[in-house]
Amino acid sequence: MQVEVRLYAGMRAYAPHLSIGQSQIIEVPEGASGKDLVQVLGIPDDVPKILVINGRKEDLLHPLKEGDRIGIFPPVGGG
Amino acid sequence: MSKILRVNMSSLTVAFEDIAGAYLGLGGRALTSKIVCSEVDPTCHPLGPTNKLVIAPGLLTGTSCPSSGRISIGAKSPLTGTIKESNAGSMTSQKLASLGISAVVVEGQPGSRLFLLLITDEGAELLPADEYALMGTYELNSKLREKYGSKIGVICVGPAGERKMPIAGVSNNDMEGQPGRYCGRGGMGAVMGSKGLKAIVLQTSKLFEAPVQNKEAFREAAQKLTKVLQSHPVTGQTLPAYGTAVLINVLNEAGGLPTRNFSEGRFEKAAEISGEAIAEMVQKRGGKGKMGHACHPGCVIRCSNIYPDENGETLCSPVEYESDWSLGANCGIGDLDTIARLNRLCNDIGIDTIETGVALAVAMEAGVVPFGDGEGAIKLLEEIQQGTPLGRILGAGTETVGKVFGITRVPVVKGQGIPAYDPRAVKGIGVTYATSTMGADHTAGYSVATNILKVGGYVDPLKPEGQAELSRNLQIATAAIDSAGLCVFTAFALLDIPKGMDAVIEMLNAKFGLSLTGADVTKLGQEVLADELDFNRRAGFTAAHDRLPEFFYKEVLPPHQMVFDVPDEELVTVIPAAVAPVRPA
Repeated sequence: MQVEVRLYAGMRAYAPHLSIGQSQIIEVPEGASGKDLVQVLGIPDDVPKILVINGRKEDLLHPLKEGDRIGIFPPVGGG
Repeated sequence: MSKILRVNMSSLTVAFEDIAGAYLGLGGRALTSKIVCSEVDPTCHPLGPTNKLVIAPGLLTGTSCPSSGRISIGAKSPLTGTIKESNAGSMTSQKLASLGISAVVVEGQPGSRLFLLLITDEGAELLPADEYALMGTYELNSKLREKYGSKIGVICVGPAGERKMPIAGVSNNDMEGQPGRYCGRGGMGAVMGSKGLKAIVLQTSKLFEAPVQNKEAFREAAQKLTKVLQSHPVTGQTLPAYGTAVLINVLNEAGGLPTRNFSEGRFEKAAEISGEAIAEMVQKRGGKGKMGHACHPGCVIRCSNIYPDENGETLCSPVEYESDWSLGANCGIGDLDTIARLNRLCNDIGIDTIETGVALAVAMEAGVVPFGDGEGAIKLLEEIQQGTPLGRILGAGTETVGKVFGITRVPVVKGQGIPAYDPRAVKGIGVTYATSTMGADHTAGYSVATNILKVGGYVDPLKPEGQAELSRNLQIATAAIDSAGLCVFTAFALLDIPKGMDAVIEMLNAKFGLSLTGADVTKLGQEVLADELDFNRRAGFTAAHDRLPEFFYKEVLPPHQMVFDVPDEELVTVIPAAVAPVRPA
């Protein structure tokens, strides 16, 4: 199945050819989780990250669905 | 002994007095709120002679404590009618603290004349300042540096403050000597303008000379906090690299970035105005452009920036998340250069970027200019600059603009424009907007940290459960942080790394020779809120004022298609329950 992924801030290093906010369609196996996706993207396990799936912050083990919109960030703050 | 500097604008006299009684041991917001609560009639007109403007550095300001250079300005607000404290990071705080001044209290009114308060190592005096009338803050700062030297601190108002516009803020200078570090919210600039005070010049080179009793213990604790701030991924990495506007994409993904006057939760041009885009622009244009800029000497977070123009010259310092959002996404404007120009104009006129952008968006909804019309927005700011009738309507703030143009989607609480997080998608911050003693204010209890950023635990932003308690605890903690003079962003690290808070307490104890515990710091926050609630109750505010505008309860926000649904009965308990332990009803 395919999901729509955007990498932000420091995570852009894992897809440096994309412009800011540009999405990439990633093929993952049926039943894949956020953790599987992160592996496909080549982001190491020990790099802290936050997954926002369809506008909701989800755990790495969250199961993915066809067409999910996924944003991946490092820990961020501001205001 | 620390002093209070009394400045009487009616008799045009200044006097130092020893800090004593209930004011002893207070600083920052705790002191501004205590003085306003004790000395200002809550029913006074905010722009009349009986209101007082109080300026106070924090308890740890002017020391080696990292990221502690905050200056608090308080008064009764002409925008909200409530008590107000608005703080900024600037060396002005460190200079005041180093001069041993705990607070400057400006009282009375001089009629139509304009004055400048000069504070030096030797004393203070009021000087005529009519030559600076209606001058923009950039030219003013430049002229004052020519006259008084390059090491001065400048606290000033622009033409909007002199015209007593409720959206007027108070500028503090940055390390390059430019205006732009604003105590923006709640019309503190209008109060300063109403006193006939154009500027306060701090002519001293001192920055880190606030008295400390136990210097060795203080130094150790300061180093401990520095390490904590540098080791946390938010304060140590992403804030310096991308600035506060890193949140544009985060809130956009979370569906909570208010767009075109709070009608949508995502902006199609979010990426183009994001912190990442600012960092790319700084990289590309070079010159004076900079990320990782500190708003005051001794900040180790350095979340600020200098946004360069095409020639590498400073276009605006800084462009922060809130301004980027209010003048950008909220107005449907997706061009960074235009946003930076608008931001610079706000700084020059002396107006709060949040209130300005929120008011502009309501005007856009009314069709004054279309959403997305950057040049039209610039023309509207020029109307404010010139004080035309339309400019004065905009300068009166969001609520007035809504009334004048018959708009019902008017995002305000207690008359103050709602900042950059839609409360339907980030419900914890909605509780803070509704219940803060200041009107809609995100910094009063930054639930976004826990709702969205996963700092200090996690409370689901889309559910009403747990938000009231989250906001209450954060509002207590923030009142204490604002009183210490610490940047609120230190909380990102303090919430996650317990020894950070230990270091703060150790510094307070070392500075004042005390033996405070964590419980005392909580109590300080509760006392501050108790003073502020007391003032607001006497001003006529009731529990019924602690709610959001109707449209947040009725109109669903895309993409989550949600309304705000934290029940009123939970909202009305947030602040009363916070203060109950120190001030039982």
